[in-house]
Amino acid sequence: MDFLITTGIRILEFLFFAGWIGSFLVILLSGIEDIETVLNHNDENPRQPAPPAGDPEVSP
Amino acid sequence: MGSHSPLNPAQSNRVRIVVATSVMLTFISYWRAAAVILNDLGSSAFYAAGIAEQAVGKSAPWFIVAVMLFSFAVRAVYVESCSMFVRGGVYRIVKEAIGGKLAKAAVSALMFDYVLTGPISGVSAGQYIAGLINELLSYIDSVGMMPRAIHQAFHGTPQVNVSLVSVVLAAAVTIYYWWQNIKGIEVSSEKALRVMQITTVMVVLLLSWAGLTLLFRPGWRLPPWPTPGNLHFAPEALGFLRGHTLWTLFPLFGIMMAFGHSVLAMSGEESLAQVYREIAHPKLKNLKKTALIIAVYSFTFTGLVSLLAVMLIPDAVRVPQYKDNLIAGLAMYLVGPQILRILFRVFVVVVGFLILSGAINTAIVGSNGVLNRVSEDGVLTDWFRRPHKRFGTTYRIINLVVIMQLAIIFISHGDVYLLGEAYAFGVMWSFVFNSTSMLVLRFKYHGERGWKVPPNIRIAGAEIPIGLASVCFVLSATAVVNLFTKSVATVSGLIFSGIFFAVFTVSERVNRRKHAALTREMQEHFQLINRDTVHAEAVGVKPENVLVPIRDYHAMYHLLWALEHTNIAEQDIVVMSARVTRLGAGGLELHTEQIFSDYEQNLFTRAVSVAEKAGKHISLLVVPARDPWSAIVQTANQLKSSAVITGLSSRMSSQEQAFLIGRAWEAAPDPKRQFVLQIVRPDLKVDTFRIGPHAPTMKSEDVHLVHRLWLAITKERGMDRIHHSDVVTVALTRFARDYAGREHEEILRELKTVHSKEKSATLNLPEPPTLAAEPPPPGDDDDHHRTPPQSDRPF
Repeated sequence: MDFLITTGIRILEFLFFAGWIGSFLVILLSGIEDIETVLNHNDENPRQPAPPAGDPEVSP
Repeated sequence: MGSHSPLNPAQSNRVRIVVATSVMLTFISYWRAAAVILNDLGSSAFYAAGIAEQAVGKSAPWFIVAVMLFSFAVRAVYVESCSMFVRGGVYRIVKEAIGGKLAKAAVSALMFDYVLTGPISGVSAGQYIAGLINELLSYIDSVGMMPRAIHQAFHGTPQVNVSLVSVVLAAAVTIYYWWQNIKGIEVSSEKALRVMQITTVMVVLLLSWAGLTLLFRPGWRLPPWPTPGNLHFAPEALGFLRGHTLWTLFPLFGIMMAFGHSVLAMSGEESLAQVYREIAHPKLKNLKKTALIIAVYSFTFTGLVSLLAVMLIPDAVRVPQYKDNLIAGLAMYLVGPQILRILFRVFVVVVGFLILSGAINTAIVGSNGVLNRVSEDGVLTDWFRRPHKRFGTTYRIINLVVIMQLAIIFISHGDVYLLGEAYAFGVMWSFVFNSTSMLVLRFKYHGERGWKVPPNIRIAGAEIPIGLASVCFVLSATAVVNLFTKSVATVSGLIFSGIFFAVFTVSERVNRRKHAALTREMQEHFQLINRDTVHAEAVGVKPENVLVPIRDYHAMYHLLWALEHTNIAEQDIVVMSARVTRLGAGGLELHTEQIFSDYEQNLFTRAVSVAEKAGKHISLLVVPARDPWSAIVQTANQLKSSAVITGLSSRMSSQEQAFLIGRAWEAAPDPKRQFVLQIVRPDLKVDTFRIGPHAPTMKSEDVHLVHRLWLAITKERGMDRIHHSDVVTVALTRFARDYAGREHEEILRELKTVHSKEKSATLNLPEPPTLAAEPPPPGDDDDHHRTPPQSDRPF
C-alpha cells in the first residue's frame, strides 16, 4: 500500500513540476506573441478619419 | 384558404418556417470584454489571499502570485479553444473531445463553480461591510462621539454580528439579482466597464499608497519564501490526510498542496470562452488582447495585494481580524492620518461591494447560460426552458440556481473559508476537463485552428504539444491532490456534481423519447427551411414588408392588429420569433432543433391560427439572437422591412421600448434602413416611432418662419435663387457651430424651455383625430402619436 501511495505521489510530483517548466515556456512564448500583438495594434485596426469637429452632417 | 392561407400554397399543407441558423449578435471591444471577465476574475482578489493564508500560513501570497502567473498559461489554452470553436466553453470542448458523458460531468463541475461564485462573493461583500461598520463604531467610540447610553447598553463598543450581516446581505443581493434576471435585465458591458474603471482607480491608489508606506515605514519584510519548511497547514487544510504522516516525507507534495489551496484566485477564466463570440473583429487578435489584459490586471491586483497584505498588516491582526476582508485591513495599515485611512477603507468597501455583487449576477447569468446551453442540446428537458409568461426569461432555471445559492449561503453561516474551500473543486475540475480535452483534440480535431499554445515540437512528423500538455499536467496533478486535501470540496463537489450529472442523464433520456415524438409531429405540421442568413428572397417576401416579432403565445394582439391593418396585396407580413441565446449558450452556428424547440412550435401554431382567422398569409421566421432588440433591427434591415409592429413590453413603456430599438439600430452594422416602429398596446392603441435618421415634425409656425426668412432673403440682391432648404441648411450649420462653441449651455437651456412649453401645450390639447389618415408623422424617437385603428391602412 505504501509503495502505491509513494509511487502515486512521485508521479504527481513529476507531473506538477515538469508541467510547471513547460508552463513557463508557454508564458514566455505566448507573452512574446502578446507583445507583438499589442505593438501591431495600429496596423490591424486602422482608425477611420474622424469628421471635423463642429461640422455635422447636414442633409440637403 | 387560397392565397390568403398562412400555409404556403407552393408546398404541401405544412407551414413553411425559415430558420436562420446564424446568431445575430452585437459585438463589443476587447476592453469591454476584459471588463466583463474581470468582474468575475477580479472579485477573487477580495477573498482568495485570506483563505489561502488560513490554509497554508504566511507564505500563501507567493502561491497566489504563482497561481496568477500560471493563469497566463491557462488563458493560452482558452485562446486556443476559442480559435477552434467560436464558443469554446467547457461543454463544447469536452463533448467534441471525449463525448457527451464526460461533457455532462464537466458541466456539473462548472455548475458547482458558478453556483458557489454567488454565495462566496455575497458573503465576502457582507464581511467587508460588517467589518467597516464595526471599525466605524470603534472609531466613533474611541473619539468619544458614541452616546454613553449606547455604550452602556452594549457593555462597551457596539459591534454587529459579522456572520449574520454577511448572510443577510448575501441573501438580499442574490434575491435582488434573481429578480433582475427574472425580468431579463441584460448584463451591460458598459456597467462592467464602469465598475472596472472604479476598481482600477482603487487599485492604483492602493498600490501607490502601499508603495509610499513601504518607503516611509521601514522594517517591513517579505512573506516567508514558499519552501516546504515555511508551510504551516491548518488542520482542516489537510483534509483526508489529517492523521496520516506518509505525505510529510515528500516535501514537494506540500508545495502542491499549498498551490491547490490557492487556485481559487484563478476562477473566472471560463468567462473568456463565454464572451469570445461577442468580441468584435479581428476576433482572435482582440481575444488575445482581452486575455492579456485580464491576466496582467489580475496578476497585479490579486497577486500584489496579497503580498502587500502580509508585508504591511501586522501578524497579530491580519488573520484574526482581517482574514475575510484583507484589502480593508491593508487600507487601515497604510501611512497617513486615521481619518484618511478610514475614508479609503470606505472606498475599498464600496468598490468591493460593486465588484462582488457584480460577481453574484455573473454567477446567475453564467449558470443560466450554461443550463440553457445544455438544455438546447437536449440534455435538460424543455420544462426547464419554459419562458416566463410576462418576461420571457427561463425563470425555472434561474429559480433553481438561486434556490441553490440561497441554501448554500444559509448553510455556510457566512463562513468565507468554508465556501472558498468548496469553491476550488468546480474551478479546478472544469479546468482539468477543458485542458485534457484540448490535448485530445490536438490529435483528434482536424478543422480550423487559429492559434496553438506554444511550444510544439515535431518528432518523426508528429507534433508534440509540449505547452498544452504541461498546463494539463499541472492542472491534473493539482486537482488530484485537492481531492485528498480539500475534503469539504471533494465531498460537497462530488455530491453536487453527482446530482447534476444524474439529472442531466435522466433528463436526456426523457428528452430523447419526447424529441422523437416531437420531431414526427413537427414534420407533420412544419417544414423547416434552414438559412445561414436572413434576407427577403430567402424568406420569400417582397421588400417594404411588415415585420411582426412575437414571443408569448398568450399575447398575440399586435399580430391581430397588424393583420387587420395591412393590405397584404401591397405588403407581406413576416412573423418573427427571436430565439434568445444568453451568455454561455450556443455558439454562432446552432442546430435547427436548438433554435426551433417545442416552445417555438406552440408559438407559431398560435400565430398561424391567428392568421387563419384573419384570412391572411404570413411568412414565419425564427432567428437565434443574443439580444432581442438587435435581432429585430437586424432582421428588419435584412428583410428590407418598412415597418415593425410589436406588442407592448410588460416591463417597460413604449418610449423605453422604442429607445432600446433605436439604440440597437445605432449599433447595427451598415448599410441600414429606416423603418417605422409601431408598438401596439393591449387596448389596441398604437404608439408610432420613426427609427433611424428622419425629417422631424415641423410645427406650422416653424414652417412659416422658414418661409418668412426665405421671403426676406430672396429680396436681397442676387439671392433670388435661394430655396427654403438652403435657409434650413445655413440655420442648422450655424446652430451646430454655436452648439459646439460658447453658446452650448444657453442652447441647452433654450431647448429645455421650448420642450417644456410644448409638453404642457400638448397635455392641454385633445387627441388629434385626423393623424391616422396620413402616413405616420415623422417625429423624434421619443415623440409618439396615438393612432386609432383603421382598416387596411398602409404603413
